[in-house]
Amino acid sequence: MCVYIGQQKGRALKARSKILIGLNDDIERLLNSMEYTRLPISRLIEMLTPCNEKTFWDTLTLNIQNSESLVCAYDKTMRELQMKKTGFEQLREEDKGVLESFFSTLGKGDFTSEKNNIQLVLKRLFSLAGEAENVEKKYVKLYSSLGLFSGLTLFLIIL
Amino acid sequence: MEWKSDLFKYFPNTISRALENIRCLSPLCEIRIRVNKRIQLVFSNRDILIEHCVSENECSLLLELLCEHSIYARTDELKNCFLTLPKGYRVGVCGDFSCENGKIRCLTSASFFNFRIARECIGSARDAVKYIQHGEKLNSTLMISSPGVGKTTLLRDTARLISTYGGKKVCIADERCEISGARNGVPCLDVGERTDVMSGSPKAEAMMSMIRTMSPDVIITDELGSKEDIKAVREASSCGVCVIASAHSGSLLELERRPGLCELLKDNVFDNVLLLHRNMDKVFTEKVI
Repeated sequence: MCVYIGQQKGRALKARSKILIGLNDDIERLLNSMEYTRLPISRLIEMLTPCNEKTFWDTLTLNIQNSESLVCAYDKTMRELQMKKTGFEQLREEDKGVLESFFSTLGKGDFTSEKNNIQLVLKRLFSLAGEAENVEKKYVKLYSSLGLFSGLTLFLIIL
Repeated sequence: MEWKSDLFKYFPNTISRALENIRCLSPLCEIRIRVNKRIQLVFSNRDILIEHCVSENECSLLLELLCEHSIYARTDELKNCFLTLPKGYRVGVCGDFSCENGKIRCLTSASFFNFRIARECIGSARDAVKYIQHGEKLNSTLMISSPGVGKTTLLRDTARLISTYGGKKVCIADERCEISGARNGVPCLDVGERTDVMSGSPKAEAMMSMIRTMSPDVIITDELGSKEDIKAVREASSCGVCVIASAHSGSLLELERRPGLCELLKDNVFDNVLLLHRNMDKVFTEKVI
């Protein structure tokens, strides 16, 4: 049980790190496609390959068709993914804040302002992803070991 | 009503709800949306005001939906105060613009929209085509009229008739995707069996590219005006390609006053000039040259 709890904690940290790194790469590819083709957002997302966070982008594409704004579509997407326990429930408030600010400004200006906004978001996401990776490296082993140690201790006590 | 299914996806929910119960007894020509005013529906013989006052928030939402949440993808069109939607609908956009060195730089807020309802009128160009094609012979033709008479609709049907029944290879330089209603390069309106379309590209460049690569018998384009357009028409004509185009002008006299176009007339680049009149829903063609 303790080992299980420890492993769950480790998995949560890994999920957060994976999502942040994946989204960072996907958004960078989105910017490159935007620069080359200047197509609308929904088409750029459809053409996004390779795609790290396919579930996120597919859900977002569906929600864009039924929403009046990108930020509404993003909110709906996050709620759905968190309910389905896809790993997005592990994102912290500051991670979600960066993503929300990205979608609230996306598509509202000319290409130069879009590029500047997206590069700013990429910087912040990259820094959060780096921090998440460090936390993962530091604590995953610790949680697993603590879990194993607590489990053994309890077992010995009971024995 | 086709325009509802075509346009409602671009309207905020509040505006769609205000329009969903409208029954049109005569063909709808325009939907005009103005900030802090009621929505105006313009028919061929009258107009009505819908009891829904459009807010600033609805206007900015409308612009976002029209641009598919991607204003950066439509900045060139917005600088020219219009957007084109699939199936040939044209939306005029006005509001507050910021300028640089005397030229429009960007739209800062949109407050006025004019949705021009696109309609395919199959067979409307039968009279016009009689002047354009005699067996194998093709005559370069300029169609003129005031705005809103139906030049684009006529050009579309002309392409269809010459291509499908006239057996000619037709190329359309469709800068604003209004003639073919193209979406992602695929025409949504019937422009004929033997027709190629170059959409989204400036007319002059499109015409030259298509002459070099698509070997057209006929090139069709809309709204000649700039020096580049005039030059491209001359070059196309000198390559032996029949050019069918349109221009804004209420009469032959007005046309002769327009620089560039009057020179094309003097040099007999066009074999025919057809003046279009509208009476209720019908468009009449009159050969003036």
